[in-house]
Amino acid sequence: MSRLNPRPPLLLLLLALLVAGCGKPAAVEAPKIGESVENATFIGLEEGQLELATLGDRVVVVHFWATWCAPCRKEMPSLERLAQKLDPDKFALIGISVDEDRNLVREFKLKYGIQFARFIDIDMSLAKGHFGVTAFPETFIIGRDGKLLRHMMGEHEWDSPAMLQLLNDSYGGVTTKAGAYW
Amino acid sequence: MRRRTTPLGLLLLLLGLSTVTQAGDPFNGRTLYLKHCVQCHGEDGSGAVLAIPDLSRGEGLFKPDHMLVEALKQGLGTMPAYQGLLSDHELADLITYTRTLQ
Repeated sequence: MSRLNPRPPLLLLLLALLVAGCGKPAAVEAPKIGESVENATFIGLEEGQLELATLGDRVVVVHFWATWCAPCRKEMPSLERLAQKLDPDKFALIGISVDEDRNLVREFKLKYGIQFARFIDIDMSLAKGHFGVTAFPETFIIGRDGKLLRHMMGEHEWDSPAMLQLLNDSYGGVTTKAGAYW
Repeated sequence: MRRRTTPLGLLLLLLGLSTVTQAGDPFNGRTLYLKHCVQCHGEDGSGAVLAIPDLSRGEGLFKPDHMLVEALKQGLGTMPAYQGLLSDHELADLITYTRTLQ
């Protein structure tokens, strides 16, 4: 009886490793403050998609988060409260989960009554390949002229008076002096 | 009967060893620290913002590496999460460098 040749499985394994490596999105540098942010496509958690360029004359807050991320979970209620307070004609709050499992996102949203987070980036291609995210949560505030106004890392109290002032100033084109951790 | 090690077996063994026993590289760890951590922890680890553990005094580091890797992946307190952005090896490099700040 002929013995199995060990080479085909070895070649298959190497090929699988190679393919797995190729599948990862290449990381880019995050856009700098004052630079124009290139158009991006946000993929809906349930359906559809949204183009950044179609948001028009609004300040756009792009927020990356995940259900496995402890500080993200903590700040989501304050982001939801912020979403309720913002004028949709002036602001667009884009919540993008980088979870691999859509059901975990659905479960989290249901449990905590989160409505604003409607987008998903399963392979992190948008987070890493477009916005150059370096940690979660991470937030980009894009001005009405399409230029990056602020790049914020970590957890924040999003519906605080200071944050609302900062966002309103962003809409008015005023550069607010940020706190040390912003 | 003498057993032969197949190339596949050897490869799997090497892959396994590479993920389990490789020591962190403090030089790569420094590069990663300057990119991801210095903004809050400061270059010497003593903390650039309030309420941050003083890494230069070892605060927050009295744990095994695997626990610190998990904390870095999922975030802890105000510290953001790095899952999917840094590999386990890179996180081990980062921890190795951070331990040199004491």
